[in-house]
Amino acid sequence: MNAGPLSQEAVEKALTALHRRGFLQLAGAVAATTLFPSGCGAVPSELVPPSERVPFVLSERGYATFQAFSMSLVGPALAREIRTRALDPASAADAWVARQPALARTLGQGLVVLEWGVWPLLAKWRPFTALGDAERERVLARLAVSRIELLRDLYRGLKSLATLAVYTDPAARRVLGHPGPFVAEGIALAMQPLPVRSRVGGGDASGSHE
Amino acid sequence: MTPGDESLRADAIVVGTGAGGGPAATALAEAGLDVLVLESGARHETRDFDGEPATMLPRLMKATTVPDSGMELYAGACVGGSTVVNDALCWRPPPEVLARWRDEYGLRGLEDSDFSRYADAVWQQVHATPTGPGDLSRNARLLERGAQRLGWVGEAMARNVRGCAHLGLCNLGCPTGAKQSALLTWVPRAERAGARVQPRTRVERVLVEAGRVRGVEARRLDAATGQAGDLLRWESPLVVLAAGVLETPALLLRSGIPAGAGLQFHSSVSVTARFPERVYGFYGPTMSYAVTEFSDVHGRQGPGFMLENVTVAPMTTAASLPGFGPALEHAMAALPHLARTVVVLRDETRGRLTIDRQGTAVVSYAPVPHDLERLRLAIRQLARLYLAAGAEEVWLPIEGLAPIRREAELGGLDRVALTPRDFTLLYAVHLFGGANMSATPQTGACDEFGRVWGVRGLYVSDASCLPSNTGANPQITIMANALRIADGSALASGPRRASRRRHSSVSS
Repeated sequence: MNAGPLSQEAVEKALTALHRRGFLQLAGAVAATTLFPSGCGAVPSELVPPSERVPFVLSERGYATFQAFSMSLVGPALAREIRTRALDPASAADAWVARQPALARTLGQGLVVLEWGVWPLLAKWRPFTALGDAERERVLARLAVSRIELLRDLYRGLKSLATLAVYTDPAARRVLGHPGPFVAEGIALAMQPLPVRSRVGGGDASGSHE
Repeated sequence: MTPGDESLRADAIVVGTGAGGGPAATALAEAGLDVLVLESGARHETRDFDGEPATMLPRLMKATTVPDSGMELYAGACVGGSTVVNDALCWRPPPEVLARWRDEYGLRGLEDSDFSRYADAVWQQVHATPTGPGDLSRNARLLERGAQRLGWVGEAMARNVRGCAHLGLCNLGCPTGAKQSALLTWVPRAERAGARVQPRTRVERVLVEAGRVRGVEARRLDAATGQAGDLLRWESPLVVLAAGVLETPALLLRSGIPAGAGLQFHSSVSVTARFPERVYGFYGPTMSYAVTEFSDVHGRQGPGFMLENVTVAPMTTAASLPGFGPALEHAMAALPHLARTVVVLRDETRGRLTIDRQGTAVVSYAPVPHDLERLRLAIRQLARLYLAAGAEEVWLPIEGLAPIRREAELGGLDRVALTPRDFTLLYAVHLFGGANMSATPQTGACDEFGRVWGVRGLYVSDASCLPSNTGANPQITIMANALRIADGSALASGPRRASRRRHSSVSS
């Protein structure tokens, strides 16, 4: 597989070709694969798909890009879970994609843009997977509020897919303090009356912390 | 089964098994008709519902996104339709809305008293029950507390449940069978009356000859792959479409019948707040309390939105929070202390559904400025409410806005030049129209009895035939209207069949 970077022209073409309806469907239905196959040369090993989990539809590069995006999205604690493979959002996303192949092309295009797009399109000069944590966060910060609708769509679409892939995983629930479904003590607490509090707004003043 | 097989004929075909299809199939079967019910989704039973979103979402739901606004639309995709994945909320048909349908849309037959008769039957059938204090979760009570401190009107909403276990899984397929969805009510009742339900069968087209319906063409969907099989032809002189707003208009269009205009939704965004006490908002009824202060139905004259508490499920909570990285982590780390409420806006926007070259639905829906401003107002009021209830931090569903800790910080919300894409998650689960009932063929797809203009024997009975949104969770209204239409279509199906009526769906 080709491991070399795509030209800026090719990336812009991918962005232009990004089929808006298809990509937006991604944000809701969530799925896809890539038409821009490329290998994982120079990609940090923590982002490379493990040998026992060959993606169904994502390319190796697409897998790595999605994994990197997810780590940046969810913050350090859950990123550590991804790094140790306790969570594998790219594999989960890949499984969703496999169920909805009509959207595969769109996601692939989106991941190509994120991985290979450089300034002024995206706030970086190197592949997304090659960036440090702070640099990746800068890219996401620009994407989230970009004046270019398609770039905001890219952020929203990937965020939808990543939140789906991460936060539906029981491993994430443990980190978040969610006891899991069917836990009687938790259900009982949720249905208890609220503690009485003595003042309105701005936190507790009645010693009612549990 | 091959073409020509006797079972490929029926007195009536109902397409869809949700709030529009379930009651229709029941009424027709109980009227003595041989009813075939075709459903594109799979049939999952209560025992299959494991409470895990990763397995339940792809089995039970479908979603699409509106190209021109980025709005996300969700619907059920299984036997029982959206009633399997809704939040079990029950509101009677708002009299103001029925009046508007009569006065503005010329649907003279939609009398409140007549509609009430059907709503009563539905209320009983789905076991709609008042929600008492013991069924209000902390998540709901925080909404109630904030409303009370601000002097706003609110109420616990009726729910169609029997013996709710408060698992917080209403919208993932209730694992205890407490929620009385169509899967547990209308569909079995229709089957007891002889209806044959065929899941995983996608109707491609309605067959029309010389202005009369002749049946449908459909394909079976492979259980493992979802691949469509050979085209099958089912024949029937009576076809009732209830495939949902994302499919019924598309099915009409694929059949060469005008449809798709007049889409209208309840737009939704949610506000999340952190409290010092544990809320455990991921448990308890997924929704149960509504602030009706700003509603414009059921006697209220507000700007037209309701505020309803909603489950703090990790995925949907994360998707609705602004920000990423450490900011998102900070919010999600407080998950046990979070409360969340959704805005249910009675949109003024109208959209349109068309089909692409493959015959797939394409929705166009661009929220008008007035709707965006009312969403802004709703978000502001919700933030105020949560602060009044004692929230330490409130997250607004707009990308780029920092969480607020006091009302004075709401200025950032006012400064945003709001577009649909500024919301973290703008979505709708209450979809209406696309095959509207109307007074004339020029203004809608069917008449006030659901009869498709120009095609005898073809009816629409789901939310796509409703002329507007309802301003309240609509399942009871949809079911009541479906019963009303099915009663009419059963009577219209001929004296031989009418004489076989065993008992009325309304009286049972």
